[in-house]
Parts: sequence; C-alpha cells; structure tokens
Amino acid sequence: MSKIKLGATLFCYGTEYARYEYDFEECVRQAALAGAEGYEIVGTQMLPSYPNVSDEFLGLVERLRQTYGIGPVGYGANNDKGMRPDRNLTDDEMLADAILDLKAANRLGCKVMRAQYMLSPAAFERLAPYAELFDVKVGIEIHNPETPLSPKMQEYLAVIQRTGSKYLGFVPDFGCFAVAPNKTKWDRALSLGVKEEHLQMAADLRYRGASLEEAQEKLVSAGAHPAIMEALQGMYGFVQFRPKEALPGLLEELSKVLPYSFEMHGKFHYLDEDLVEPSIPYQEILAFLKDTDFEGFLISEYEDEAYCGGTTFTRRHLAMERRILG
Amino acid sequence: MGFAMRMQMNEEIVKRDSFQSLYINGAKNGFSFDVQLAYYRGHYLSDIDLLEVSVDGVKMPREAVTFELNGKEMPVYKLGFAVTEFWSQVVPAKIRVIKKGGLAPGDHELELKLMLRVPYMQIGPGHDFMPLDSGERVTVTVAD
Repeated sequence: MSKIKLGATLFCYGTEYARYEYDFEECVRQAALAGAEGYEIVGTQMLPSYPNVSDEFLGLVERLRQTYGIGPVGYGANNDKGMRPDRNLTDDEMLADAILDLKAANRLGCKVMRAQYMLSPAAFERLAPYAELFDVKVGIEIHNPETPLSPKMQEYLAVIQRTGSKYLGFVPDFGCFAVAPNKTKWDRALSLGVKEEHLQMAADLRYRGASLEEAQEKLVSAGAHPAIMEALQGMYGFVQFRPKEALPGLLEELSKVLPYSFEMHGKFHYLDEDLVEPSIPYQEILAFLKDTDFEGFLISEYEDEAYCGGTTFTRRHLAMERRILG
Repeated sequence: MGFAMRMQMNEEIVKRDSFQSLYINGAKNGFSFDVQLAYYRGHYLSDIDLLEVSVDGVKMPREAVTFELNGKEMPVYKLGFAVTEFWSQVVPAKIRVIKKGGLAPGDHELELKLMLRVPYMQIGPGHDFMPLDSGERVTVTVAD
C-alpha cells in the first residue's frame, strides 16, 4: 500500500507571480489553502538570490512555515547546459552547478531535487556522493515526450542500478501518460478560426502515428487554417499523446522505475469543476499508484498555457487527487 | 526568423511608465526604460544573444546602450561574459540609451529586440537551444 502525500509546486502560480499579483508568501499561502502538505520551489523562478539561498530568504521560508504550516519539500533544479554563448557546458561544469543546486536544496530543507536530463548520465553518476553528503535525493524528471523506459531514461536507469545509490532516481511526470490532445491549445486554435474537424483530423493522424510532415501536408491539403500548426507542434512536442490502449504499457513502464522514484509530478493543463483532466487519465494513473509501494510526495503542477493563473485549478487538482485516492 | 518561445505572462514587457528622458550635465541627451523577462523563470545574462534598441526605425549604436541589473550597469558587449549575473523574471532591468539631444517631444516608436537562449531546452545537436523572444515594440510619449 502506497503512502502518498499531496503537495504543489509554486510554479502553479507562475502567472500570478510574474504579474506581481502574488509575492512568494501569497504563493505559499495559496498552496496551503489548496491543501498541499508541502511545496516545490523552482530555484530559477522564485529564489531571489539564485543560485544561492540567502539567510533573509531562509528566514522568510521559516516564518511562512510557522504561519501556514507548510515548507519546501522539493527543489526544482534547472540544468542550464546552454548558458554560455560560445559552447555547451561540459560534464565537469554541469556537475559543479548541480552541486550548488544540492546545497540550495539542503539549505531549504528539501529531501528531493528534481533534475533535468540535460545533466548527462555520467555527470548524474558523479553527483551521487555529493547528494549523499547533502542528504538530498536527485531524481531525473521523466517528462513528456520521454516515458519511464524510453531510451534516454534507460541510460539513467542503468546508472541507478549499476551504482546502487539510494540518492539517484527519478521524478516521473504524469504528462507522459497523456492520452488525448491538450485542451488549452485545442481551444486556442478554435478561437483563432481553426475548424474542429481539422483539429480532430490532426489528433487522428497523431493517434495513428503519422509523421509530423505527413500530418502537416494532409492538413494543408484539407484546407486547414494555418493557426492549426501551433496546436500540431504541441501534439508532436511536449504535450504529445498516445492512444488510450497504450496506457497499460506506460503504467507497466512506471512500475519498473517506481522503486527508484522519489517524487511524482502531477502535471495538468486544465481542470473543470467536474474534476476530470481532459488529456491525462488521472483515474487510471492514481488507481494504479495507490496499490503500489510508492512513498513520497505527489506534487501538483499546473502548466498555465492559457495565462489565466493557477489558483482555482490547483485547488481542484488536489481535490481530484483526494477523491480518487480516497 | 524561425519559431521562438515567448511566454508573455505580463501585459507589459517594456514598462510604459518607466520610460523617461535621460540627462547629461543638465541637458536631455537620451532615454531609459525598464524591461521584464517574457518567461516564467530567470536567466543568466550570458543567455542573452541579442539586445538592440531602435527609435522610429533607427537603430541606436551598440556602445550607447547599457543594461542595468541590481545596481550594476554594463555595456551590451559584456552581457555574454556575465555568467554569474542572474536576471530574475520579477526584477525589471533598466536599459539606458545615450542620444545627443534626446528625443523630440511627442510620440515615438520604441523597439527593443531582446533574444535569449532557453538554456535547458536543447533543440539540436551541438550548441542549439530554444530561442526566447523577450522584446517588444511600443509607442512612447516624450513630454515637452
């Protein structure tokens, strides 16, 4: 039986934060109001002295813990391989930056750090002894279009299994279990004049595995509005989806990485009052997760492609999770 | 130019109210304005690939433009070396342009070209990262 705690990443409130409607305190307060038992902080988004954690910020985090009862449990790291204008960072440099991220996570009291696959499997392996010193577990985010056992993720799995380190693992993101098109992008295309039949045609082409080029040609010759191309890019990019019949196989993949998963990311793009995410099958995913041995935080992550803010949706998301998990 | 990322979370990337004339020895000799990143997270200044300012279609000389963040003002050529200067997306930077005589009273078209790399989104082999467009074209009014 799993032991799942519900959390939220403050990234959910990124739009409100960028518009100065919420300061850091208000983001934490809203996460607490949504029912989160802890929160994730994305360093590059909300750390005022990134990549360092100042005493002043730590004081604020502690004061908010006293006031709202929750604190940081996960640190979202960015692995900025392209931050130099002239060349990519080397593994040595990526490792050195990741150690600084570990230090920040540790200072904030986070036991889990979410890292991106820009950090190579070799650098990831070299991070293990530092992760142990800081007592922060590093999970490579499994983000759509990757899946738990896609070739890139298998390279990390090999490192985890070979080293046997308890500090190296994964953070699966439920976006990779999408089985239907992204509703926000779909609705935006409609509002720009794209016909629903053409969007349906694009989705069908994607379902049956047509290439992006083939889909583009078919849509152009069907006379689709050019604004469909952005939605189509999404269907073949970060918000791609598979036929629902693929879901049991994907959950089987998840079960293989589950013993090494420190945290789950409950990605969502839209959530109506009916509490059903239109593209990500939460009912099936959570029913599956509930019966596993997973222990850790399930972090709600709203991706605000509609720029409407995440406050209402995040509350609904935690309510949905609670309803399904019982 | 191909596809570039843009996350306009704020209505204003160039802050209209921040626009003002700049004075050198008591005489109007340029202008300044504030800019916020059009993205959900901050960037190192070394992620900036292009920063250009044009007024009424005329590009300002590169050496006359500076970028100020957290009280540190620097010329544009140094941005690529600023690998430890982190630009938070909630902290606007100030752009200053020296222009002899400043701008004449009335409306002007101000264009900021600001292109960055999204440094964790590699889109091809080698040094190829998702471009981010954080520029904007706005109409500004210079008072009499």
